[in-house]
Amino acid sequence: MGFATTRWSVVRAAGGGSTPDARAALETLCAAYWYPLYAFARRTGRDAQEAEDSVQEFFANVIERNAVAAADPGRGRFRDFLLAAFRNHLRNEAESASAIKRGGGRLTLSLDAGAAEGRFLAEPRHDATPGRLYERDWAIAVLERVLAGLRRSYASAGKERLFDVLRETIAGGERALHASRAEALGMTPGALKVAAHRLRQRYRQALRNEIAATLADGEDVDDEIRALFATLAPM
Amino acid sequence: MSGCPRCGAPLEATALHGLCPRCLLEAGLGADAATPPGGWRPPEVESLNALFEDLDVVRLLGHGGMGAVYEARQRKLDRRVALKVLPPELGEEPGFPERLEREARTLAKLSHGNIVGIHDFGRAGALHYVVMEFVDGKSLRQLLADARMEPGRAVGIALQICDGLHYAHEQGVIHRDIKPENILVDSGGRVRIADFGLAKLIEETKTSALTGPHDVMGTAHYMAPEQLDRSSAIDRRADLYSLGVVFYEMLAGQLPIGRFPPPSHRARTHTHLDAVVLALLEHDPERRPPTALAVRNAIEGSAPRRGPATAASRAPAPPVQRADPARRVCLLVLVAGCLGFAAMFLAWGSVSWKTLEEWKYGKGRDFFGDRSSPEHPFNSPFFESHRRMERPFRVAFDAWHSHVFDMPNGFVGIVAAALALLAGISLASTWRAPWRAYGIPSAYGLLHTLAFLCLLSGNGGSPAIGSLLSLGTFVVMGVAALQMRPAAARRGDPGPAILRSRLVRRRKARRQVNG
Ligand SMILES: Nc1ncnc2c1ncn2[C@@H]1O[C@H](COP(=O)(O)OP(=O)(O)OP(=O)(O)O)[C@@H](O)[C@H]1O
Ligand SMILES: [Mg+2]
Repeated sequence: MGFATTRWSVVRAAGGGSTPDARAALETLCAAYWYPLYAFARRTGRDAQEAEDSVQEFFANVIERNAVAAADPGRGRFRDFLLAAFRNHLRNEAESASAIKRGGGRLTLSLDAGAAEGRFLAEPRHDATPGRLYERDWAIAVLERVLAGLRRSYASAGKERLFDVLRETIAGGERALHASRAEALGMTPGALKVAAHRLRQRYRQALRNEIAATLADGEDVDDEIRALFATLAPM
Repeated sequence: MSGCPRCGAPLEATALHGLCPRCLLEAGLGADAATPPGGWRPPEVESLNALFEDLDVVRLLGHGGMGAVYEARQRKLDRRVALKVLPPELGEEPGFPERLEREARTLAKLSHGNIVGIHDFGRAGALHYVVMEFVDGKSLRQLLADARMEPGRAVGIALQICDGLHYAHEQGVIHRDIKPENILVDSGGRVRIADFGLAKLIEETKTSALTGPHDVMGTAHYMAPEQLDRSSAIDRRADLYSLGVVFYEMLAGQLPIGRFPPPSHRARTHTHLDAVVLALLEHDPERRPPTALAVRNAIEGSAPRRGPATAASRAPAPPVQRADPARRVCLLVLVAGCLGFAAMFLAWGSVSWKTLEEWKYGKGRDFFGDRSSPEHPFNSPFFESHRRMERPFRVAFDAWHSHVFDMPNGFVGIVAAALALLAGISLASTWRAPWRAYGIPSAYGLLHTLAFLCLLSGNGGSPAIGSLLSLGTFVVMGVAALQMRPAAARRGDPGPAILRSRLVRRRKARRQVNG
């Protein structure tokens, strides 16, 4: 995984998408975290179509128009920047009641809007503010991205079945690994334990990398983990 | 929706294959300190009775990451004891019995009124066990769950933890797992620290391939940063950090997570305790108090006594709020600021955000230069730090704006009400808090906002007033910069020395003249 350059700090250092590296990094980051924005737009009273348009339009703005500097990179984390900039965007959109101009040769991300809407509708209703729910969605998006990345790398070694079995042990799930599971995978229980341990190590590293990529230089990964942990408090 | 089997949080089946996001995040914390051996079910009482000849095991008291604790009666001596059974995986580790023996011998030497003593240890069947004093009472975890803790009681408990810790530290034993589950309070109110040194025994084992539920809250929250980050050696100050977390939780009713306010901002506790708690929670061990005794002295020294409070467990005086002259000045500034702010907005009506933005990138660009260029003075490190200070206000402003941006133009009434509310909250918090924590940023934010509005309002507003206000902003910032040495600021001492000492001196002088 190309973590070296896909980082928020790279974007910040460039003061906007002015270097190719920074632009690519920003594009990747945006593509990874658009669902929280989509859900935010839905929660602030937009329908599915409007939400999708807003998100597309927003990314086109951010990525093409060097909007990072304008939107104040003084904000530390990518998470905060993204929401603030998106709010700005929604505000402008609401006020320039002029219709949304779409497409027209502009950059579009491939967002799976259908899946997003399905997921949004499946979420339980909450009373919390859209801002708070955004942070919660963000935390889940981070985790999903990490798990998906791990699964991909296991799959590339032909081990996705192992991954699927071990996934629930990452967070130390209640269910222990039964010998029958090991047998089904053609492994000894001992080897399975070791594999679980290894997966946990890799997971931890991947999560920390992923989070570090969204922080500004000098911000603490553990602090961010704890902050995300707090956003997931039962509401 | 079902609950996470590990932490009990409600789960949404749609996301993350039904895994619990909180537990997943927690698994990413620090190094692998939070992964003890587990996935183990405590044995049934009957099966234990078959194993131990001299013991009548009565019931399971509870279980955590490193074993289960039972209430039992020792027949020969006819006394109540607590039996701690360690998970069988541990016993399979080569060298474990020797280490347990070594450790138990050290622990058996600890004899102190605030430490749970060890009677015996050994192996029965596949199980290693420790027999210890039974504490008839509740764990601090239960006490915290039962009811909100009185600050006086919290202080009493903290002092006793200090005593026990200091004694053990002097004997060269570090606890390593101070948390509410391991602090027991007996029916007479005496505090007993349980599980001394056991964490070390567990840490040294390599049986970490399979983890189970450690406990509901997760031990990681109580561990010192250097403990989580395993690369550095730990000393007694790791226990002091954990004590800080426990103390904070007792006072504030919540864990100190992320950017947390001093306890007095979250509950009606004595502001003088803030400094002690925050010092314990310092990231860098060098900046924590060096010993538990120092902590005890700091706690006692910080609580102004009223009357003859002798026993350590006696509650200190209830929070007193003396009218600090500096606080009064600050409040005046705030009130004036809030009123001005509200008035300004009322007069200003409903200028739209878009107008501001257009100004910023149109006329404003000619005026201030191109804001997006890295050379622009606003992008200098000085302004970076400036923006960090104003962040809370910006966030509040954003939040407010997002609520009104799609309302019709006549939202002045709502704006005024919201402002009054904000002003009220800000005043209330300043009244209770060490004023520096809120006072300076609030004053600064208000001045800054006013300056901003005046400057922006162009024809209608007054650039002169705007400039004056922004001058004021810089004065306040200057005071802040001069006064806020970072450590002092976090410890939340009561006010800028300049302002205070001069006012106090003047008062004293007056008093001397009069008396
Ligand atoms: N000496 C004792 N007397 C009475 N009750 C005890 C004693 N020691 C422990 N307990 C009770 O038993 C419970 C379980 O203790 P145990 O040490 O197994 O788990 P824990 O403290 O939650 O976690 P850890 O394993 O990390 O210490 C405690 O919460 C406490 O209430
Ligand atoms: Mg314990």
